Amino acid sequence: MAEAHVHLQYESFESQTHAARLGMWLFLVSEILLFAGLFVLYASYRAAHPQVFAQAVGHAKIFLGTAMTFLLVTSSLTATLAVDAVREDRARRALGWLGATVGLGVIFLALKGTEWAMHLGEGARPGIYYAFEKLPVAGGNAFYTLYYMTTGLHALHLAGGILFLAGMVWAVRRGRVHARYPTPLELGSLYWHLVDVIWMFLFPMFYLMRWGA
Amino acid sequence: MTERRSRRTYARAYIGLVLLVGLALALSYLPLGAWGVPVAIGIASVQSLVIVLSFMHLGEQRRSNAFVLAATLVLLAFFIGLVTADVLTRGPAPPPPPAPAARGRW
Repeated sequence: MAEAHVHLQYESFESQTHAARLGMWLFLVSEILLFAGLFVLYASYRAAHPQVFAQAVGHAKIFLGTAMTFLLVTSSLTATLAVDAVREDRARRALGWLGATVGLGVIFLALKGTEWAMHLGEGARPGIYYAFEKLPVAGGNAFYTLYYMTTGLHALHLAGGILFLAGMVWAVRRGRVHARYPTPLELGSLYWHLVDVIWMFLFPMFYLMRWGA
Repeated sequence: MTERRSRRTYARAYIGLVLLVGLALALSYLPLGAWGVPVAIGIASVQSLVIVLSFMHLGEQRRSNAFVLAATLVLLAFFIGLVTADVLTRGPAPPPPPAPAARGRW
């Protein structure tokens, strides 16, 4: 089993781990600022077209949206339990929790793809392809363009997280990540939780905030 | 035992999150009017706090990590708040300039 290596510039393994975590938090906040641009657009366009935005939220597939929210929240729990298991040197249990996390993420992406297909079929399309008869172009076009951009960017992030955690499955099996060196999995789970936190805001923005219609 | 306490904390956090999702969903059907958006975003913020503190262990790490997140949230508040305030306080667009024939000679 590989042992953790303390790189030359660090005093101790503890300070190396802290540097890794701080670096990860700095990356996470840069991702928050990436989504912030889209949140600002949503807030601004909603302020400009409050009724149409509220009506557009009313057309959301709320059952699918709620199901996806429960999937992500559960996947955050399983990701945390996977890190816990690795810290206790229970590799097989960790693999089970990691597999569950990846599986829940894949189901989320499948539901998201289904939902996109439903919206696109109804004419709720982004940019110049907008053809949704139930909502005016002014406001409706902005809403759906933002919907595809924001949920699409979120889905890309989720897909990246799935790939990374799949890589962690390999790393745990090979003994590269273990109780004395859980750091890569810890950082990966921080990223996964951020994807969940971002969805905590997307869910009300695109599925719940029907007030003002 | 720290491990059992951790797992209990995770279970409680998860149940709390599930209940908050249910609450947000239920409240979305009530006629909250202008309170609706702040309530929904408020619930999302509480959910995020639960995830950050319990699943991401922010409280157990060094303060520099919490500072990074807090500073970003302050920046976010300015960013979203000021841009939205700009849009909300815009008056109607000014009238277009008159056609060339209506302007006097130099």
